[in-house]
Amino acid sequence: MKGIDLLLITLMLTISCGSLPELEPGNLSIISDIHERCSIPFLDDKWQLIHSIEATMPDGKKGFVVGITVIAPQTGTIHCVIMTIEGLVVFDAQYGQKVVINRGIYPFDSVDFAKDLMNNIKLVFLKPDGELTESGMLNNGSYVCRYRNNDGTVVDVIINQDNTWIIRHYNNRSCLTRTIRAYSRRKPSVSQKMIPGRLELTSHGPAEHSLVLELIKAELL
Amino acid sequence: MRANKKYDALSIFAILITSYLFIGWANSFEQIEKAAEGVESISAEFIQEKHLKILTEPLVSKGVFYFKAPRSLRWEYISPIRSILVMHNGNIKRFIRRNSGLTEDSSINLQTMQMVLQEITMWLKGHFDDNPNFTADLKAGRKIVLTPKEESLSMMIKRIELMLSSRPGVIKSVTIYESEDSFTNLEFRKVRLNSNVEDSLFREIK
Repeated sequence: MKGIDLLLITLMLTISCGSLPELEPGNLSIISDIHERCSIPFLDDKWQLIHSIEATMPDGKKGFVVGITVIAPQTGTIHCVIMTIEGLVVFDAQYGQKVVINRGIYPFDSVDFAKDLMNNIKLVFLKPDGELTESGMLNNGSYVCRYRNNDGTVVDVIINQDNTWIIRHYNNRSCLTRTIRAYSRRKPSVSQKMIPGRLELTSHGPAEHSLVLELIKAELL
Repeated sequence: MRANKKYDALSIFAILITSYLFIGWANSFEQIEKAAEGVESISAEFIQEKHLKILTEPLVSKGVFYFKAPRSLRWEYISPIRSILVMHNGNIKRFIRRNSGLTEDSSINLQTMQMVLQEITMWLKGHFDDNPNFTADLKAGRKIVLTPKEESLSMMIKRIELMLSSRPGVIKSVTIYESEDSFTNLEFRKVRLNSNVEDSLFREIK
């Protein structure tokens, strides 16, 4: 029975993966506008962000922590601290050339957790590493920029017309692995960088889980 | 004018006498325990400051707490995140207030919270020197320093400093050091001893 379940899951995953959404090429006059708007989600300067974080586990249970992150796009470095609402630091790590864990209390003590967290922070706040290979529009009129990495993974940056944006990460088999939805309090503009008031991150797969980040404070450093 | 002067002098005298009396309540652990003996309930507002190297300025949280002997506690944050931690009749629950209402935090570590409850109960009842988790040291100026006995605990908390108020039975502030540049300071104010704290505060979460 377990074998059949596994087969079904594998089959479903196979069916759901394999092709990226089609992009309708934008007309030449708006290409530069699309590229410009696709940069809206990503930071240019060093920021300190404080979020309340609600984590929903695969079994539906919820946990709450506070996250403090300092992101420096110029150097590509990230410093992240997670603490309980009462203020006990359970995780403190930095990312530069590699991930260094300064403090980790179970279950926040694994290197895999730290790497995954840093990848998520990079995905949300830093411009994708890959090459911008396609851009265009979706059927609903949203602008899309598609970045391809050397390892075959793809990041789609989707800027909607209603002040929200979506970032989708696909693995090298074109399976959707992560979706980030960002909601801002006011209309985003390229000239005025804005930090989303709410971020929803969903990690897809058999053990799907999600994070909801509510911004407490953002400070330009 | 003369009466005012006399009144001022009397006031100063009264303050001095009262201060000496209150200073006397924290000269030994026995005195502290005796002063806290009659404490059946406490409620207070608190301001929590989290100091971290990563922060440009401390993260300030505000809240209220209610304690009722022997083991009931409601620890409630009003800002920046609204949350309620309740310990009553051996049950421990934490709720977070979101736009959609109250959501229960199911990630809460019951073992850790049991220890926290045990600590808070012991402090509020004035039991410091028979603490299974910490070695207590009474310093000058009504200061108690708690140092973890176990290495596993000292990995998380280096020490805790409690400042006792001049008012017998009252803790003025608590500072929890995770390291020298990472610590949490809690200042208590509007402390009410033995006021009527309803049991419903620990049962009904609103």
